Order: sequence, then structure tokens, then C-alpha cells
Amino acid sequence: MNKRLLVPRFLQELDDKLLRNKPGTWAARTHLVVYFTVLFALLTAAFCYFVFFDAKQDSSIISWNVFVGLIAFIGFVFWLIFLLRFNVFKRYGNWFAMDSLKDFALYFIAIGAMTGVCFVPSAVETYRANQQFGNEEIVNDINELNVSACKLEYGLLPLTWTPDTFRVVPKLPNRPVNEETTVVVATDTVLSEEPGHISYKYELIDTAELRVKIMNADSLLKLNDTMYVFYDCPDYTFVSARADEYTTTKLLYSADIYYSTIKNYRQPDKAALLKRMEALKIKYAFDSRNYYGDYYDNNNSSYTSRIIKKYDLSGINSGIDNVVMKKYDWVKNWNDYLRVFYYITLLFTLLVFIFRHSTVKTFFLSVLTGVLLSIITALIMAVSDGSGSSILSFMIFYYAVFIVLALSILGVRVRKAVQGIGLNLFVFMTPFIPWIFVQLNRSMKERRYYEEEDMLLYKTVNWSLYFLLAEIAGALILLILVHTLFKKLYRRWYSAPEE
Amino acid sequence: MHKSVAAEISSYLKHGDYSVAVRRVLDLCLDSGVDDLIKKAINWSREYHAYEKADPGKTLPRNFIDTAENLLAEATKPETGTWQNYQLVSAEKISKTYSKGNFSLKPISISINTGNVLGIVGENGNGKTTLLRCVAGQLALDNGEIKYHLLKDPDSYAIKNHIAFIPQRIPKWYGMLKDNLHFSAAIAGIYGDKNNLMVDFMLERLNLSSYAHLTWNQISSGYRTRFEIARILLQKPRLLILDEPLANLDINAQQTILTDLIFMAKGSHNPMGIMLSSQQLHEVEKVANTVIFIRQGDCLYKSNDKEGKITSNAVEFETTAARETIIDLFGEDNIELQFNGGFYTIISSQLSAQQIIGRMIEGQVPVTYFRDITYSTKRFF
Repeated sequence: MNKRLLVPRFLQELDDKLLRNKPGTWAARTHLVVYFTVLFALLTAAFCYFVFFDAKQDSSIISWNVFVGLIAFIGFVFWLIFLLRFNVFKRYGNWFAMDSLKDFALYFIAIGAMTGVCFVPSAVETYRANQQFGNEEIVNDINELNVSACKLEYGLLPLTWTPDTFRVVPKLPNRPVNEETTVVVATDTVLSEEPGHISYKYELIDTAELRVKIMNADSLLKLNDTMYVFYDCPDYTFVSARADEYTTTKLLYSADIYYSTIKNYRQPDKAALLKRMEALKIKYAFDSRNYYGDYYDNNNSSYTSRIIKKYDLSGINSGIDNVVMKKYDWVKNWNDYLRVFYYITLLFTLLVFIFRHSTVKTFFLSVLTGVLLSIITALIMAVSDGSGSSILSFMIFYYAVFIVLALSILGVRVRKAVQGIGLNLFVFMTPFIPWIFVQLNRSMKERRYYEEEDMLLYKTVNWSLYFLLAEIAGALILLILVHTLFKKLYRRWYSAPEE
Repeated sequence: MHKSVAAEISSYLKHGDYSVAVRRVLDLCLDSGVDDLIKKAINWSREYHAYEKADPGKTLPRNFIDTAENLLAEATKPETGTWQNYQLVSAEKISKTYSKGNFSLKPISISINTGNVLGIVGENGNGKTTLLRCVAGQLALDNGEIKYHLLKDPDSYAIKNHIAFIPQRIPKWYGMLKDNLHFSAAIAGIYGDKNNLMVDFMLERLNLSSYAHLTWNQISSGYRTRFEIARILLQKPRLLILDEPLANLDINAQQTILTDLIFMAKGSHNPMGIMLSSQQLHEVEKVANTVIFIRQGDCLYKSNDKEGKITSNAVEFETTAARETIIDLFGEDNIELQFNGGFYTIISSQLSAQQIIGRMIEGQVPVTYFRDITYSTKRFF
């Protein structure tokens, strides 16, 4: 039995068993890659667990990701060295029906494991932040900080709300409008104004904007069917972080604080409040002031600036921002991370799969062809002032050419490099083709929307769903073709006699 | 068949030719198809190599000979695995011209059966490798047709799976020698315990056991050739094509490898045909059923077409006697005497080789080397 460093006995035995029974699986070394990747991931996780001891600190996750990514890449190169030693297909061994698909899956798992390990630091960072701070806890603390600051500094706070008047029109004119009108305010619509003839300066807005403004308004006065006065509450939120997206307790807005604390202000127990503020400062404050922060602090004499400076709320803000960012990183970005993971894994898997089924010369010629076609297309676009949809059309054209070249393998008796290049690029582009078609469709509808304002064709379409379906379809088409067509074409092309 | 081989092995043992006896016993046990017997033979072979390593040339103990006789008795019991002669590959007037360069292989026809050895000889750059690569399916033919009689409508992959080609420059392999052998056996469908057994067998058969855990850089070029043969044989090809396999081997190994290949080709475990090119004319001619001589892409001579084509006898010899002495000796006879700087060659349509050597002995000409090359391709060089 071969003895490998750090490999436990059961894995050695598995390795030996695979060598003698499943040579294709053994040659892929996926079992060893997964094992070593898990070891490395655990080591990275343990290290990160101790390094990320304070969730308030600025995140250094980019550096960590790059560092772990580089190590994973070295691991990838190391794996390639072992992978390229043995190849059932190129040795003309017994090549069974599912072998191409199995190989693809094994490469995907191995590369996926190596790609996945790059996400370990950010996962640990998120875990640590969640371990240190509860979701509701942060929201409650932010509310408490803002309310306490208002109570302590009531004398500094402005109490007047700012009105802003708008007239709703079905369609906005091209030029900005800022006119004055006099309207009769109906008694039953008045909340804080006396009834009668009042002059208002107003801006025009459309119904869509009205909806947004109503949703965000602190208070509003409807003067008639088209005229609205929106009142903005002064800012009483000195600590602000989007921490309540996933909590039942919500952050208090300025208006909430106004109604709960300021409107009927009562003298607080200042000593107790100050003590509590100090405790929260110790809990959250993290000094990460930058140039802009210092500038803001030193050059702004507004009430917010004075309050923030007095209670070091900018430090608390930074700390809470960091905590919130880390806590919800995965919840907010999981689909982006999944896409990054999927595409990196897919790209490397495709390259390895192509390399394993092609000659070295043809593989590198294929890469060169891909690069040259990209440059030529970019040049054509630059010269002809082409749009995004033109690039996509070019890609579809190239894909069609590659299909023709690849299928011509079925009718030849000699191995030619140009057919191999066509086949390699056909395989490489296949998973992206549905996406390209959806993007082309979107570009065309977008252009039509701008030209004809046909909103039904463009804005009502759930494009993210279509792109997701295209990605899934691309993957499925690739797998089906690997199993049915690509393996046949590679078998025929690779084994064909040379000229 | 098994009984005659057993008798042959008994003779080897009796006369102390243990090395060849061990190899033949291994072959015989492999042909029996009984795994336990093969294991016993492997252990017995290991025992022999241990004796050889400890004290080369020493008389082997009695129990070693007894074990051999027991193995022979067991190996000749099974009636399975009888060897059959059938056609493997036939090529009809195949020709090849390279698009770059001006070399062309002119139409040539060959046929190979199981157990046959086809030797291709000729000077460098005359088309030996081209012919081998055409038959191996590596080069596209311009004309002619190759039939692989055991395959039904084969594609190129199936042909290459069916045929093994060992090039002159063996491509570098990576990892341990033993891993490579296990892998080769597994991709040929030999799994599990059988895989272990066959690898152990091949290591012993080609005397590679002590090199099993070495890598490419740790073994000599001769052992790399042996390893490549072991690796290829584990894949059970039906036609084995070797391009200059003897180039990296020492004199002993050349003959050993060739005879081993013949034994294995004629075995019932994997009856196969062999096609090889070489500059070692005498070694090849000794084992080949057919020898083809190629010059400038053209087949000048095929040994099994010799009837009617050879009209004179030819011998080559080495002597310290002066040329005039030899001329005087054969003065009355119509001979052609040539000297290439090393050897003399006599071509005669009247005298046979026996008569020529007899005449030289009578004339007391000192002869240090003598060979009848009447039917050898050597006369074309």
C-alpha cells in the first residue's frame, strides 16, 4: 500500500481499492482532493475563528480570501500534476458509457472543493459575528442609543418638520418645473394647517414617484387629488445601520423617536442614561475614522455632528456597521457567492475536462483561438461602434461555427487540429449559450423599450428568473451533451490517425 | 501442448537452466488460468530470485526443484486454455506519403496470426516506423486497407484498444512503477484481486519485482523498456507492435525479452501477434516467422517469399587470413568475395554454407566468426 503523508489508513485503503477497481475515479484523485481540502478548510476555519475574535473590527476578508485563494490555486496546480499522470481515455483503456460524465462530475467536485475553501474565511467571519451579537440585540441597542442621545441632548434638537410640496402628473415634462400655485385646502384633509387659501411652491412628480414618497414619508398632507405636501422629520438617528432587515424588532425612524420621546419630552435620569451610553460605547465602539470622518467631525457644527462627537457615536456607528455587515453577509449575498463559486468551478472544470480529452497542442491552440476571437470581436466593436447585442450575436455566430467544425469530426478519417479546436470551443461555450440568448433577448427588448417605450416587453419581465433558468438550462445541456455527443466526438477525434 | 512445455521445462531444470525454467513455469501456470497456481508460481519465482541474489550460481536446494515439479504437475492438469492460431491483422497494399517531406512507403502487404512474429528490418529512415504506425492505426493510409479480424466495424479507439504500440522513445511515465502497472491492468478490465495477481505475475515474469516501488528517474533505459512491455502486456493487446525494442537492452536482455515475448504470444492466456522493427538482424531473424526488409519505403525482401527468390548462398565470416589466401582456397569455384572492413562475405551459387566452412577448415584458415546469411536480410545491407 502506498503511504501518503497525512492520509489516514481508511483513505489509503480506499485509494488502493480505487486503483485496482475504478481506475478512472482513482486517476481523478477527487477523494484525496476532498480530504485535503476539508483538512485545509478546517485549519483555515480554526485559524480564522481566533483571528476574527472581534466582529466590530474592520473586515479584512478580501485579503483573507485572496490568501486562501492563492493557496487553493497552488493546490489546484498540485492536483493537476497528479491528475495528468494517468488518463484512461488517452491510454485507450476500457471507456464505459458513463465515464465522460463521471469524469466531469469528479473534476467538478474536486475543483468545487478547492473553490469552496476560499469562502471559509468569510463564513467564519459571519459565524463569529452572529456568535457575538444577536440580531434583536443590535436593533434594540441602536434604538436605545438614538433615544438616549435625544433625551440627553433635547436642547440641541430641532423640532420643526420640513414641508415639501408636489403635484402629481401622469407624465413628466422634459424641462424641470418649479411653479407656484394657490389652492383651497379642504377642511377634512388638513392635518396641521389652517384651512383657506394658501400659496405653495411645488414640483411635478409622476405617480410612480408619488408611491415611493408616500412609502417613505414621515407625514403628509393631501391638499387635493393632485397636490401633496410631504413633511420631513428632523434627523434624530445618530446611529444608523440597516440592522432590522431580518428582525422582528424594527429600527426607530426619526418620526418614531419624535412621537415617542420628543413630542412629549420628560426630563430623564441623565446619570443612568450616561452610564448606559458608556456601556454601549464599550460594547460597540471601534475607531476606524478615516479622513472624511475626521473632516466631518471637525468642520461641521450641526446638532448631529455635535451629538455624535460628544458621545463618540461615529465609533459606535463604525462598530455596528462592521458587525451588521459581517452578520448578514451570507444572508444577503449567498446567491452572488453561489454564482461566483459555480462559475469559477465550472470554468476550471471545463478547461480540465477539455485538456483531458484533447492533445496538448490542440488545447493551447483552442485557448489561443478563444483569445484571438475575443480581441478581433472587440476590435470590430470598437471600429463599428457596436452594441452589447452585437457582441452576443458574434458569440452565437462563433458557436455555430464551432458546432459545424465539431460535427465534421463524424465524417473524417484523419485527426485535424482545426476540428479539435472547434470541438474544444463548442464544449467550452455550451453552458453559457442559454444565458447569451436570454441576454440578447433582453438587450433587444431594452432597446425597443427605449425606442418605443414598450414597458410590457421589458420592465414587466422577471429577467433574474430568466437568467437563473438559463444558467440551469446551460448546465443541464452541458451534462446531456457530455454524456451523449461530446464523448463520442472526443473518442472519434482523439483516436483518429494523424496525417 | 502443456505436456510438451512441461517436458521442456523439466529438461531446463535437469540441466540447471533455472532462469528460463522459472520463466516458462510462470507462463505455464498463467496459461492454466488457476489463480492459486499462479500465486504459487510467483512465490516460487521470488524464492528463485532470492537465491540468485544471495549467491548467484550456487546449486539450488532439492525442495526448490520439488516445488517446480509439483507446479508442473498441477499446471498440466487443467485442460482449459488451449492455444489457437487465427488471423489477427492483414494489410493489403497499404501505402503512405507524408504531406511534408518526400518520403513515401510503397504498397506493402502483410498478415499476422496469433503467435506470429513479424520482423521489419532496414536502415534508418527507410520506413520501418511508418509501416508500424500505419498498422497501429496512428497514421492515415493513402491507399490500401487494414483488416482487424477480431473486431467488427471498429472505430479508431477500438483499434487502438486492440493494438499496443511501444515507440522507440518510450514516453515518460509518472509515479511508481507498480501503480502504473495496477492502473494499466485496471483500464483493461482486470480488477480487484486479479489485478494484484496479474501485476505481481508480470513483475516476476519480467524480473521487475525489485524495481516495483521505483520511479522513471530511478531506473535505467533498459528497465524502462521492460516496464513498458509489462505495462502493455497487462492491457492484453491482441497485436503488440514494438519499434526498435532492443535498442536499449543489453545483449542478454535482447534475447531474453524476445523469447519471452514469443512464449507469451504463444500462450493461451492472451494469444497475440507481434510486429517489431530492429537493427539487430540476427536476434530478430532467430525469433521472427517472417522478416521484411525495407529500403526507401519499398519492401525488397520478405523471408517467407524466399522460395525462388534466393538463387545463391551467402556466408559472412571474420578471419585473420589474407584475402589472397581465401581467393586461392576457392580459386576453382565461382564465388564472389566482398570485404566490408570487418567481415568477409562469400556469395556462391555452387557451394553451400557447410561446404564453404568445410573448405576453410581443410585449408586451415583461422575463422573467428562464421554465419550463414543465405536467408538473412543481412545480405541486403
